[in-house]
Order: sequence, then C-alpha cells, then structure tokens
Amino acid sequence: MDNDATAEKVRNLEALVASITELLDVQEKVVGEQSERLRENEARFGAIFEGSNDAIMLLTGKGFFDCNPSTLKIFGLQTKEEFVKLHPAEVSPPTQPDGHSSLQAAGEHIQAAYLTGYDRFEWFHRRSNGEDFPAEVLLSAFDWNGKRVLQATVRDISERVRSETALRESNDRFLAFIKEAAMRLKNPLEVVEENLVIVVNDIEHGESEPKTMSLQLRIQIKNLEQIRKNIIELNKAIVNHYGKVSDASKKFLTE
Amino acid sequence: MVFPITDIKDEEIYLIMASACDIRNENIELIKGLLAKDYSVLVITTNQPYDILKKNYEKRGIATEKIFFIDTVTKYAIGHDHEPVNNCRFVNNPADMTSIGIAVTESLSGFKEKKVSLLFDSVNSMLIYISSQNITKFIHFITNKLRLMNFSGIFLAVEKGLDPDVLTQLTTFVDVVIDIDKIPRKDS
Repeated sequence: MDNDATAEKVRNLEALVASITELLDVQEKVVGEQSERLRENEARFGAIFEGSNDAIMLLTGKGFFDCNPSTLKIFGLQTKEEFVKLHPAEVSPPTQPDGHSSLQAAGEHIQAAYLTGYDRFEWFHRRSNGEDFPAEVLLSAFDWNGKRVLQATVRDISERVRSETALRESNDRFLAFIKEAAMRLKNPLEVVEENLVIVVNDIEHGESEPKTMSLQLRIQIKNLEQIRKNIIELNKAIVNHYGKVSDASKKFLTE
Repeated sequence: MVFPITDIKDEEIYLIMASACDIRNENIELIKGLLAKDYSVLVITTNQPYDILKKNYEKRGIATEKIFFIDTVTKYAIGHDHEPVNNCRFVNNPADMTSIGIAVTESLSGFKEKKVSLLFDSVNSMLIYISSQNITKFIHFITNKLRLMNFSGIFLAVEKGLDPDVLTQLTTFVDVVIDIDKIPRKDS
C-alpha cells in the first residue's frame, strides 16, 4: 500500500514537473518571440531613424541628446557629440524672418509641444557654414525611459520654397504682362474708336476735307497695325507661359 | 466738363484725366486757357496730327503763333516727310523716344518767353506704341526738364483703363492730378 502511494506521488510529481517544464518552454517561446518582435521593432525604428532623409533629433528640456545622420548632414556637422552640445536656437539665425528672436521663439514652440503633445511650424535654420535654409519642423512629445522627451523632425524645404517662389514670380510676371497688354489693347482701341467717331462726325457735318480724313484714317490704320502686333506679343507670352499649346494653335496665335 | 484753366498755377505740373470722348475738347480748352494766361505752349501730340490740330484750333478762333508742336504721328502715317512748317517738328514715329526727347529738349530751350507750358496729348495714345515702363520713364524725363526750366506742364490721359500701378507712378511725377469727371459742374 505504501509502495503504491509513493509510486502515485512520484507519478504526480513527474506530471507536475512535465507541466511546469512545458509551461516554461511556452513562456520561453513567448519571451523569445516578444524579444524577437522587440528586436525587429528596434531594428525597424532604428532603420527609419538612421535612414531618414529628414533630420530627426531627440531632446528634453535640457537640450538635444541624440540625432540621426541626416541631422549632421543637414546642419553640416561631423559628430553627434558636436550636435548635442547645441541649443535649437544655435542651429538657427539670431532672428526669424518675422523679426522674432530665434531663442525665444524656439522656447515657445518647445513649450507648446510639451503642453499639447506636438507642434508643427516653418522655421529658418542655419547650417554650420552660416547658410540659412527654410525648414518644416514637427515636434512630438512622448514618454521614454520614464522621461518626457521631444522628437524634432526637421525637413529642409529649400527646393520647395525655391519652386514656389519661381512659380509665384512667373505668375507675377505673367500678370504684369497681362495688365500691360490689357492697357495696350483696351485703351488704344478706345482711342481708335473715338478717333473714328470724330472722323464720322466731321464727315456727317461736312467739316472734313478728303485730305484731312485720309490722314486721320491713315493714323488709325497705323494704330490698328500696332494693336495687332501688341496682340501677337500677348499671345506669345501666353503660349510661352502655358507651354501645352499645339503647334497649329501656336502658329495661329503668334503669327 | 472742362478743367477751369484759371486754376492752373505757374511752374506746376498736372495730370488731367478725362474720358476718351472729352480728350479732344479738353485739349482745345486747355490751349485756349493757357494762351489767355499769356503762356507759350509746346504741344506734344501722339494722337491728332499737326494739320488737324491746327485746323481745329483755328476753327475755334485760336491763334497758333504762340504754339509750337512736336508731331509724332504724321510722318509715321503718311510714310514720308511733311512739308517743313515753322512751328512744328515732325518725329519719325511715336515709339522713337530718343527723337522725341531731343525734340522736347531743343524746343523748350528755344522758347525766349518766360511763361511756357507743355501739353502732352495723350498718355493713352502713346501706350499703343511703347510700354508703360517706358512711358513712365519718358514722362519722368519731361517733368524733370520742366522743373529745371521752371515751366509748367499738363499731361492728358484717358481716365479709364490706365493700370492703377502706372497711374500711381505717374502721380508721383506731377503736382496735381485732376479727374475732369469729378469736378463739380457749375450751373450755367
């Protein structure tokens, strides 16, 4: 009887050990999978952080403590250590285009991001060679290792601003040309119209001699010739501005 | 509506705005008024040719002895020289700013009288031939010349259709801008 009871206990213990072992295996597998996922996430975010074309930097109230390689490239710096010593205002001109001090404005944006969780704004930064460039900045606040941290993403928008400026200038030039053309078409036609009215009135009142009428009409013909040339100039400007005009239309408009 | 010429002061420069249909009449009334005030007048015409202007003046009883003309349209329209006239210089074409500039300088210098006024008729018709940028430069050139010589000047322009930016520039060169349509009508 004792032997049977002992054997029973041993079997139970063996079953318990087997269950625990199984549980430990499962747990190990879960932990392993979680670690793998964590490693994958770290690798993914690390790749994003390291490989992003945008400058990504991490900062607390005490200043920068990490940055990605693009940060160094954009600001023209050699090492991370060099960068983390700087205050955000030190990678900016003393004042922003609106006249505000960069130091004060940077503080206000950081404060706003801490309070609301994020802040997005346009900013002028300065590279280490002194060149200023326009940037789009996104500040996002999050908790990391028990600390409230800000991630700053800085995108150099020099190209975009250059394109926008070029487009705006092109449109301004075009508008100026249109205004000029309108003035050199609308008014002159009014001048010609009025001159012809005068000729007609003089004829109707018998006040005009053929020689005078002929001279007056010749001048109006010259005026109209010039107005036609002005129209062609306007058409050329339109064609050059829009580009997408068929050859046949281009010929019709500009000849 | 006609600008009351009695209001014109010596050595001042005016830009007078009128509607297209009033320009011819405005030109005649201004000439009458300036002669009545004993001015000698230099007329730069970019619209009405000398022959027609002279006839119109004479028809309205205006003696043309004290008027000198710079005609920018006749030679261009007829394609050859006009027979020489004592009181008129014919310029090749309205776009020939250099020749007009020389004619203005020589004509103004040729006046022996003290009271001289220049009448430019008109800004709008000149816009057919030259850009607003060049017309602005040209008017600046003439106003400078008038101020240096202590002469007065009147620039006629059609009121509507001038680009506000050009108008703003022109107003900076003159002392007074008068919109004929905004002068209160006197009951006759």
